[in-house]
Amino acid sequence: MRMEELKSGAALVIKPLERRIDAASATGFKNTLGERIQKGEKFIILDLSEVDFIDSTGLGAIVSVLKSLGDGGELIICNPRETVMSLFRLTRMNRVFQILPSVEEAVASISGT
Amino acid sequence: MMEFPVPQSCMKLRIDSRLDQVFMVGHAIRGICSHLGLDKVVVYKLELAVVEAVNNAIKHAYESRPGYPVEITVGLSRECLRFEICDEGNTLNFQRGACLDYDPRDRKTLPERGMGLTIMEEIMDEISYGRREGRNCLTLCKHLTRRRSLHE
Repeated sequence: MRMEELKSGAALVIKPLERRIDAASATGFKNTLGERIQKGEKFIILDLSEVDFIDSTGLGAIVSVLKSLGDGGELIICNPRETVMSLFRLTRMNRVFQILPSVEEAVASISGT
Repeated sequence: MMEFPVPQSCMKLRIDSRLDQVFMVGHAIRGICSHLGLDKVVVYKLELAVVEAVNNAIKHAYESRPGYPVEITVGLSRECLRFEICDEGNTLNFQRGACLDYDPRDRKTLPERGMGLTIMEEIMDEISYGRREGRNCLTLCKHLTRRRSLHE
């Protein structure tokens, strides 16, 4: 999966450039982020502004990344579209993830931790 | 199996049992539902429900083996939008009433899989699964006469 990566303070901002995080792409997504975590990243901001479809396998991959970060790490979702947000609500994952409207707010949130 | 209204018009799609083919089904469902003037979140949810059903057929009925058919029939009547997803693989132990049971504050309990059926049940008004003419058929129905269904 094509992704843009940007280091901002302690946070790694990841922006998937594909429109779908689904059963076909979830493994690649999870492996890429897993490699960053292996290299020591603890705070990840996932910018979903380009993503217009996530299925349960894609959501499971995002959950897996959160679990891989451990208790000391954080995964913040930002810029989700209304449609993608409806999946987080449907599965109650909006109560699991911190979901913010912009990368700037996500970076500020991590800087304050 | 539950009886559904006979569709006034229908379309059949057929893909190979490969996850990298499922996006085509998703785009087709999105296009049809958008054309009906449904709210974009409802369109997304209908695409999601059908994609989950097709993923299940590929991953579980065919155990992720490529080379087998998955057929999707989209039927439209005045009463409902109906999707039928049929495969020739293993018959699944399809148990209704699935729910996501986890503690949002406890990361260890968060589900990484097994959410598809709950999602389908949350989105659709009626679901039926059974054998027909040697195939497994999952039927998903969304009522169109209820204002809630169109705009929720």
